[in-house]
Amino acid sequence: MSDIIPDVEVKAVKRSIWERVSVVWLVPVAALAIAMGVAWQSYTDRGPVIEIIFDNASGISPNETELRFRNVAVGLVEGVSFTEALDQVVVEVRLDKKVAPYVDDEAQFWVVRPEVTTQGVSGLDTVLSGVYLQGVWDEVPSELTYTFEGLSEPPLLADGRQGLTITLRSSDGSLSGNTPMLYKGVEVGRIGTANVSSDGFSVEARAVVYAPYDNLVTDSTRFWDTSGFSLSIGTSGAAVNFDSLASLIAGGVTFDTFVSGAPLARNGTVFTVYADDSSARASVFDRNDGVTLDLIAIFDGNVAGLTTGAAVELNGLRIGEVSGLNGVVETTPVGATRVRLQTVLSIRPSRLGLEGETNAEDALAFLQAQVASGLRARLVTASLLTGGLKVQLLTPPNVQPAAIDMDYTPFPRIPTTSSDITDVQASAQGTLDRINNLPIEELLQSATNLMTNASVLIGSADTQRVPGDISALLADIRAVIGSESVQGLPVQLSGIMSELETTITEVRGILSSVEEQAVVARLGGAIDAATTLSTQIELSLQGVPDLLVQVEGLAATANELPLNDLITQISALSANANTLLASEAAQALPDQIGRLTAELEGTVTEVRALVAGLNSDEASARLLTAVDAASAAAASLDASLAGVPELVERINVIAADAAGMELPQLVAAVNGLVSSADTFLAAEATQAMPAELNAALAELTIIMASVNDNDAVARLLIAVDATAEAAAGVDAAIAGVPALVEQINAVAADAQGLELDTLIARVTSLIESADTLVSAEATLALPAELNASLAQLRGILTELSDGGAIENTNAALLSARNAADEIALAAQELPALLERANALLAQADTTLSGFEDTSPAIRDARAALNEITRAAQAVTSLARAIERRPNSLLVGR
Amino acid sequence: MSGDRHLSALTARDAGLVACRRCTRVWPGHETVCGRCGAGMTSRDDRSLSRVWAWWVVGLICYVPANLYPMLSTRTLLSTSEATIVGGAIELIHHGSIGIAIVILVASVLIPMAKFACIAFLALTIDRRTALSATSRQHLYELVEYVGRWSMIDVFVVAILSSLVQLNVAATINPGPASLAFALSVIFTMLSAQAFDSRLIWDGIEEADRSDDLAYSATGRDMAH
Repeated sequence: MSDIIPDVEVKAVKRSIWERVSVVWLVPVAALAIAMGVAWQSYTDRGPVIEIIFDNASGISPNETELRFRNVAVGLVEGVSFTEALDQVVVEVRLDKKVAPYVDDEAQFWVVRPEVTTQGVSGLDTVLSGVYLQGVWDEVPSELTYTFEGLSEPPLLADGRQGLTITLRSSDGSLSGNTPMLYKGVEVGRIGTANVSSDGFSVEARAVVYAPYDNLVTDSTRFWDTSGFSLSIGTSGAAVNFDSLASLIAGGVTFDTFVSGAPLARNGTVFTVYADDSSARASVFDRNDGVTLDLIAIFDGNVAGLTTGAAVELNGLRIGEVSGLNGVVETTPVGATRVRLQTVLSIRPSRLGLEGETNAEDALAFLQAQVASGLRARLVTASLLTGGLKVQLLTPPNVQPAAIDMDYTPFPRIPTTSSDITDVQASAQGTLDRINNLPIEELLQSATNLMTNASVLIGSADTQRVPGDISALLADIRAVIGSESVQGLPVQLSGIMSELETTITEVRGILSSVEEQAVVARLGGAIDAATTLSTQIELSLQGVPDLLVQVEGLAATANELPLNDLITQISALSANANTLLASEAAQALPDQIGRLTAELEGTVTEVRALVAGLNSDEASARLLTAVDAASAAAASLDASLAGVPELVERINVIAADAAGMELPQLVAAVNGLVSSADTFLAAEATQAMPAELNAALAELTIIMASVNDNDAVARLLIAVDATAEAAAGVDAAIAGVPALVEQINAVAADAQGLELDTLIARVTSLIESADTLVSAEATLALPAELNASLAQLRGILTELSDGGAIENTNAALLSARNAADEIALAAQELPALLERANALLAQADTTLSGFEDTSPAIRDARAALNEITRAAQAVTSLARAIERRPNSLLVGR
Repeated sequence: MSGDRHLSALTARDAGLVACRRCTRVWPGHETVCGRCGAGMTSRDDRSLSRVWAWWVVGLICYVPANLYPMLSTRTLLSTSEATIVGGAIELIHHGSIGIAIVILVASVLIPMAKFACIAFLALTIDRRTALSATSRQHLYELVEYVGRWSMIDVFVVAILSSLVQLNVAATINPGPASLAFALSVIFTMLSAQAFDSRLIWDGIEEADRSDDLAYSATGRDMAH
């Protein structure tokens, strides 16, 4: 068959999509979806990017540095770039979405780096892991801010702590930054970095007080500096205290509230930091609102020591301070220019104590009224040791009227008065110089030598012996005086006197019948003269004990003297005197005298009988002459002794003045004198004198016993004549004694007002002359002569007793006359001696009167004493100042 | 018979047989499960190509984060550093270890890239005649499938380093996210290569030959008249 096969359209089988597409395609789809989903999620989970601007990006690296909040990573640094001006670095940080709402404009960011400070070490982990950014923000979500200024250091309230933020200010260096704030020793806050304030006068720092301690800070809280340590020295000793180690090294500020009732402080309050606790307390009542009244005061003179900050005081209360010092050129009325010191006084009106709120105008009006009534400003010393000055407002006496010059520029000018500055330093220096110049070493040397010599003197064997000798001497004298005969002497003498009295009464009775009344009168005058004489002698001898005491003192304080020899001499002298008194003859003397008085008694009775039979005028005449002569002699003796008390007094004074002076030559002379006196006393003749006297008295006794004849009257008359002659001779002899005494008086008067060492030199020479005088042969010969005379008398009396009475008596009386003549002759030599002594004394007198009273030594001493007085006064005032305020030594007034 | 340019081989399909691709036992064409190894047998899987492309796409998707994310994160005492594959290789070059850098670049960049390209090329040129002969393409396919597994060498390096350098604070190495992605990418490309039926290469040749034949015969008949 020839069918044409139709073309069949061949079509490929259309398979379903599921048969063509493998199910494996789901995998890529899923993978794609997952990838997309993950990408989408990470994109939407990204937080916002914020920019933080720092000064430099040290340690910040992109994609590595984290941003942390409370040490939890909440962001990452994505990029670091510059600002447009290339002066700062912009760090782009991508935040976590969760914390993004909280990052508002109050958030703060800073870089955490390792820090080593006095408060400790922080951020050490950043050494290994690199720095990171830390941020702090509050928990209140608000609008997100995209640009921030990064802080260069962590803020005070890092870590999100709560607290009170305040500002501290100080103008005297009490504030240092980055220190802890302490309250009663517990750290309750921190102080940030300190900056100088914009006006340049003070230092300010932000500070934060952590909660819950921020309730302790009120508006009246006072802050003060507790850095370092404080050292106080008081009556209880020294104390060192400091608050903490950090405050010791870096400083610290503490606070306290002294008054209650003030509201709590708010954020941003400004407080002043005071230098210490006390000034903080003092400022509580000081409304330091900054209002001050400024016045100008211009002071004269040198005001070194016045500094800015010195106190201004009114009645002792500090009302302000000196706030400025400068010089001002003034033209005097003469036309010359001079520079004076102009000070600016800042006075706080609140310290003046006026009622109500005081401002500057009220204070100025008050001060104007005060100045009108005499208030002035002056400088006074604030501290004696440092020489600091302060300004004092006071009303001085006798002040010229003045007023505050309101037109003065720049401030009103207050009138001033003279300053009261004590320059203690110069006075103290001058005092020290004077004390330095005192010759203390020589004085001490002299005193040492004196002590040495006195000790040697007292310790020498001779001195030790002297009291023994003197006591022996006194014992002997006592024995002599205490012997019965001497004891009986006064009784006998009183009997004799009574007899004499009766005799004389009878004689008076006899003579009253005589025509010549003058006899009685003259007799009475003679007796009066004798009485006066005895009184004079008493007076003159009154001063002798004192004189002796003085002389004793003088001898005891003698210096550098050959006292040993003197003392040996004196001891020898005393020994001799002792032997003299102890000699049998002296011992027997009282017996003799007793016998003599007994005989005299008998004789007087006989004489009475004799006189009863008297009938011759001759006898009375002769008696009268004798009495006259005796009275004259007594009167002259009296006159001669008139000057003796005065003399003794003068010698007393001289001896008192002479105590303590050097007396070398004097003592040597006295030594010589004493030795001469000693030889005098030791001379046989003197020793023999008591024996002679004894014998003479014995003979006299016998004579008196054997006088019984009527011729005895005639003889007696002759004897009376001789006695009269002798008395006249004595009278003439001692005529020169008053003059002598006067001389001695004058010499003593001159010597009183003289320099004692020259005086002593003179006295030494005088004594030397006296010594020569005493040791003159004539004087030495006197006892020999007296001895001889007495021996002669004795011989006569022996003859009288041995041989015939009349011839013996005649011869005796002749001998007596001869003896009297000899005595007269001997006495005639006295004027010559006295004249020599006179001349010597006149010489001494003229020499001594040439001396004057002034001497350089006394002038110097007086000047030194004045200066010492002034220095003592200055030191007293210093001591008083220190007593009142011991702090002024360190702190000043 | 065909012309002398024709293949003279007999394909299994023509012979009515089908071979198990797993154990290579030949079974009659209607069998669907290999009696020996239990694998499923199809003469030609029309969906294999889509599977190849699917796995290829996933591998490519996974390859992207493998290069973007860091492969290793090294944490020493001082710092933490993360390096991507290429970044690490560059660092090695900077440090002077060029050899190792070349190894890393070849193993982790070149080979995966080449694999993607090759598989794509093979998948695309199944039905077309290209410059590469079928034999070459077969060789290429064999190469790709063999070399592909060696891309995992980078992952091994990461694994070994991470397990060895765990010195707590002094030094710690942890694998980064890229290592997972890279491993996945390698796995997916391996799956992609495995899913490719190489018989498709030859099927294309047959088709081309037949079309050539037809064209030739058509032209030949024309020429014969």
